[in-house]
Amino acid sequence: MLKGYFDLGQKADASDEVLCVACVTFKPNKYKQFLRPWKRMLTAWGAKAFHATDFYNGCDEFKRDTPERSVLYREDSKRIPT
Amino acid sequence: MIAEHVYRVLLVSFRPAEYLQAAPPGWKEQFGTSVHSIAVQLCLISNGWWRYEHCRHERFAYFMEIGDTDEAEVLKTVERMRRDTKHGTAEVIRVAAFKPVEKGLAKGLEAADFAAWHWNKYYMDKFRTEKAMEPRKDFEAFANIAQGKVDYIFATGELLKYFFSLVPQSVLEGQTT
Repeated sequence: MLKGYFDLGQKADASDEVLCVACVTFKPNKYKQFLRPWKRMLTAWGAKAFHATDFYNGCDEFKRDTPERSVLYREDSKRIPT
Repeated sequence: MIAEHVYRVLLVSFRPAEYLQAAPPGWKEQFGTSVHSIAVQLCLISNGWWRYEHCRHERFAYFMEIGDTDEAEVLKTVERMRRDTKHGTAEVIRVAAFKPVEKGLAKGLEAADFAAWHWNKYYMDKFRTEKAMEPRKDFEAFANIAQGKVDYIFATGELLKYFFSLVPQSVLEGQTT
């Protein structure tokens, strides 16, 4: 059984708006492999869940208020997409 | 972490104002005004046809974030598609489950959040400003490593007109379902 995960994202400015639905599909064994480093990443931030808006803007659980967290951001922003 | 583990990433995107303005007479009455629901339908159908090429006998268990905009409309639409054996939709989409869940409890939702955020950012900062060939480095890295696994449908302009044209007039007039 394949697992598919949906997310709705919207972004707007004064003149335009875009809506995107992303559907990310995993095979079960690959999903398990994905979870291990993903949970480690969240633990390092002390975060319950990844929110791209917060992560990239340095908000809430992803605040970059120490040099260590700034380093963590630089590393994770390369590791997360790959 | 994401690109090397995913099997497929599908991005379905609309400009909501354009979509609602361009919808032909009868469309909103037949299919509602939820762009979210329409995008999910396209994902299910696209994944369904993709399955024939890659993993013909598989089924899908889908998850969406609880409390998302138009959640009730999405669930109603998916249920209708799952029951549609008359037109063959159920057999194409092969949905075994479709559940709303808390984001922190289903980490795959967070991978989808990553993908949707990057697409929207790419559109707003690059695509519409004719800098499409200059994506953010992290989005570029994702696309490169996930090469062959990422598909997108950006329903705007002529493609949006084509999308609307696929539905026969008789359906828009409520003569068939």
